[in-house]
Amino acid sequence: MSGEVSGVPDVSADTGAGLHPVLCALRALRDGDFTARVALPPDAAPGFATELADTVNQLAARTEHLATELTRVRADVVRRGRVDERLTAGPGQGMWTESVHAVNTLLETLLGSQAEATRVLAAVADGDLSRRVDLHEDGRALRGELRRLGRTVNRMTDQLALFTGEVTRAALDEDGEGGGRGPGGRHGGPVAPHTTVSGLSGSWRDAAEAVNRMVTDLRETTRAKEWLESNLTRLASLMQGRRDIREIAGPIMRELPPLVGAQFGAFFLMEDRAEGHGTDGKDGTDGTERTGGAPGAGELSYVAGYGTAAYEPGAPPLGARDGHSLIAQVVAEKRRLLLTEAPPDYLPIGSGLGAARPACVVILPVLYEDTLLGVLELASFSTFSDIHLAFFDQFVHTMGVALHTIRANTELSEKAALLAASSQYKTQFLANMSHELRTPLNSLLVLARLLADNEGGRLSDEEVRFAETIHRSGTDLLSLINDVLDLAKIESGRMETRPGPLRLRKLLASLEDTFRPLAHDRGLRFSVSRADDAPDELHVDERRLQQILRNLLSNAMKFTSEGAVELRAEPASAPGDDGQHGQEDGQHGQERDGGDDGARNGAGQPKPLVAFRVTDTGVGIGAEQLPRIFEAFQQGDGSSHRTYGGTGLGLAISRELAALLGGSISVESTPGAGSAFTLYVPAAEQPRGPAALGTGRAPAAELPPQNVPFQLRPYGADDHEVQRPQPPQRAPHRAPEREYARTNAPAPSSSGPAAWQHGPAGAVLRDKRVLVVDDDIRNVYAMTHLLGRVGMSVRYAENGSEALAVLDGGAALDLVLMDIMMPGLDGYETIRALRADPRFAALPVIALTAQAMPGDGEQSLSAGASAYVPKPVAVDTLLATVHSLLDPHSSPRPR
Amino acid sequence: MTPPGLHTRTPLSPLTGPDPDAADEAGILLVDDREDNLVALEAVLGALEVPLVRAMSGEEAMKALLRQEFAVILLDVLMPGMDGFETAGHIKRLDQTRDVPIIFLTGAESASEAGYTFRGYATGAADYITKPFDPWMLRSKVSVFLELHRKNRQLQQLLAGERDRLGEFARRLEALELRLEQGGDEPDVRDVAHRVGGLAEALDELRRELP
Repeated sequence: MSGEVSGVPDVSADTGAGLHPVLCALRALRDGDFTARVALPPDAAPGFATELADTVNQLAARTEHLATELTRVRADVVRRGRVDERLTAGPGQGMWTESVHAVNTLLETLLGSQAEATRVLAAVADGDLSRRVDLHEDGRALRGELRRLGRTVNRMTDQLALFTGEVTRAALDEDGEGGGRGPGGRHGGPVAPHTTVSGLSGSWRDAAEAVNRMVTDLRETTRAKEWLESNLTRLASLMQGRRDIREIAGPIMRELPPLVGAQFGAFFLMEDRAEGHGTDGKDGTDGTERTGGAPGAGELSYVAGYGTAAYEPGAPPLGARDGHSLIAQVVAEKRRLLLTEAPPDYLPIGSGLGAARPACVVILPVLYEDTLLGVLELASFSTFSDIHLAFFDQFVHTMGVALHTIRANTELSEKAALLAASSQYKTQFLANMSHELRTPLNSLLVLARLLADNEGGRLSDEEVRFAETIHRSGTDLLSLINDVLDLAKIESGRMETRPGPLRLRKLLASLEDTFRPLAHDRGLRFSVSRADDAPDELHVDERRLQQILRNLLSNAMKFTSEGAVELRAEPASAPGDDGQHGQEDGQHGQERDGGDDGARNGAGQPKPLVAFRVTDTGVGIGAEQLPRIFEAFQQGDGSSHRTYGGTGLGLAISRELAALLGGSISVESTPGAGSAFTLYVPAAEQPRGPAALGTGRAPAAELPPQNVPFQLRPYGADDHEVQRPQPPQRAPHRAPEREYARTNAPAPSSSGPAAWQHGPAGAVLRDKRVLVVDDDIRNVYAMTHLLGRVGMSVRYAENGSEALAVLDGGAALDLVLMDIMMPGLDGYETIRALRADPRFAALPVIALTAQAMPGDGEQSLSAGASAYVPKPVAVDTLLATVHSLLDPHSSPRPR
Repeated sequence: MTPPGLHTRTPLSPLTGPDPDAADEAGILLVDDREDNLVALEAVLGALEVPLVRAMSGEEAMKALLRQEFAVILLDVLMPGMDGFETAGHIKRLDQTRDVPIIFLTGAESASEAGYTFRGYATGAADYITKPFDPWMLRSKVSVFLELHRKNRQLQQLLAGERDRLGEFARRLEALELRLEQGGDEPDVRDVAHRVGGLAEALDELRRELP
């Protein structure tokens, strides 16, 4: 505010001069300076002039207040956005107050609507789309701009709510399908309604439609993904657990082309040219056609296809031979090749009605880690979609893994089989060879021994020494062969252990008995002892344990020329735990073979062991030799072998056997002072089968009784037992021209020889003499047994001529049982020859004929047999026939 | 291995002796598919001076057993075709042959197959010997069986003699009975007494000879 106006003009004479300041103030007011005031001299006398000045000043103050308030509110509202700012009432009444009130009401109306809109928008922003702008103010409807503002905000909110609702619903639809696929189909939800976005407009509509498109896309992508995954899984399942690539290729090529809408499909397998056989030594292809295939290590050959009946299995792909085809390109690049425009000369896909070129061809390399395993080709009249292509890529990967697995497995199992076979051959060979080598030695040794013993005293001393040398060398050779065979058996895992209960005392006593004479012969002290706390009851394979201990003891005896050999058994927890025996000096060598794991048995819990320690005072073993003594043919050096004999395999075998028993052997030795071999074995061995259950040598099998080509019970069995099922009893086959009417001695009705031993039938048979003529000795035994049981005595002739010789020799006989099928003189001829001799014209002869040859019976009767019985022989049929022929009461007697 | 055909040659003894037990002395049956083993066995057992009969197969052995009496059988286990166990099974099942003792002979490798020895004894074998055997041991084992057989035969002869004597005794008793019957009321007492005295003497003699 500028300074006060001074020098008011007076009104009268000096009045005019006195009013001058008032006028100045009013002018200033008029010109907009509300700060102007009338300044009165302090000494001015109250009167009109002062009153006027006072009134003007009040007017100025009120105006100034109003202006100041307006300015302040404006600033607050406009600059600071404070919509609740109002004018404060100034001094004065009447229109002053009304003006302030009017301004405040105006502010209220304008700013209040604004705030309402702001609140609604704020709610929208917070996700609450339910608020709307109230279009009434104090019961009166808003009008004009304010109403428009409110309605606009409301409409915007409405649109937003609708849009949001649509999007949410669309999204919920999508979700809902994942959970509850109704019978209407996997995508059977109402898709159409949410594409109609009535009520939305402009960008809202665009946005909603965009959302709808997005949802549809999403749905399609999901569907494609599901299709892809489910079909991948399905096709992969076709490939699971298959061992042959062909087993895979067939089903895959039946499934894959229809799945992707292809009308043609072919799968070519890459086969190594070097080993084109294996799984693929196929029919129908000659090797010459397969030369020069696609570039690479092998060549492609057709395995399976769809609509490819023209292809022969094993045939190369068309055009592969010249190397120009696209398939060769794929083979070279190992990348997928897609042809959307098939070349004109491309294979047409044909049906019964016609043929057309495919629109789309895809050639897929089947790879595993960049190695081409095969090529898959598909052709279609339509084009393959991106999903199809994606599917191809993934499928081909899966197939690559499957093919690789099959190939790897095949190779592995082939190798394993080869290895097993070769190991088996080796062992079998060794076993056979050992047997063949050993067999002649047996007689050699016996005869050499006989000679060396010079029983007749006819050999010179030198000759006796020769014989002794032959015997000794033969014995050495035999033990070498035995050792080699043992070692081979162990190494091939064919040596099995048979753990059983074993008394330690008994074992030690037996070893002492065996070696005491030997020790005595060599002038050695020999002691066998056991610790008091040693377990007496062991559970081990006694034979193997004995074998090891005998070996250790005989070694100890062999390498000790004077002093003592000692065997001691004591308990041990694990190999090497004991310090009581080791003389821990520098020159002291120690070696233990590996086998500890067997004793500890993996569980970390050491099992109770028994230690058998064989100590000697012999030559000992040098430290440098120690590591090798358990290896085959490494006994000391050559000289020790020559000096001490032995095969050099004993320790190797002992070590292996110890491991087989779950134990180990350790050795401590001081050259010149002696050695101590300690065998540790578990006190209780777990039974252990052979590592490889080979076919080995089957123990000579006893023929089951059924194999005896004879229907008698196994002879020697209790004859009172129920007989095995037999064919229905037949009446004896008899010669029609020799009618033997059965009379007063009927055959027993029951079966078996027991029934024929007693009573009148038995009396007929007893003590009768039968000649059995059969070249099959088993039959003879069965027959002899049977006839012997009913009291008949049997003579035996191996063939027809022998039978005739027996008869001619005057043997007293009552009956002949004659086998028809015999080498040399057969049954018919023999019977004819026999009947030709008047002495035997009436001799009853029963022919044994083959059942399979029905004509044999008649033929034997016409040859002169009294009756015939078919083989295999039924006991009762035979005995009934024999009885009827021998019964004196049968009539008429033949001839 | 020799083809089986070679082993089925005609048995050694042509059928001259009409009866199986007609041979003066029971022999030893040697069964092995290898000629050299048979030679060795013959060399070892020849000193025993009993008939040695060869068989080169189980079948041949079975045939020989039906023709001749044997004191003991030496039976090789491993033979082509019918092996020793099967052969022994047949022999042990037939009443007429089951009492002939069997000694199994086997190569070391089959002896080492656990269970073979057991099978051998289970078949009813008297002994089980591993090749190469000690000739002296085999000879003494076999001679034990020969002695056993001799004793058996002596016993049987003795029994047969007793049976004959008893038969004679019974016959004389019967005659005496008849005479007494025929004599009616006045028998020839002197004659009867003479006959009864003779019977008493015979009975005394019989009693004296009993062991």
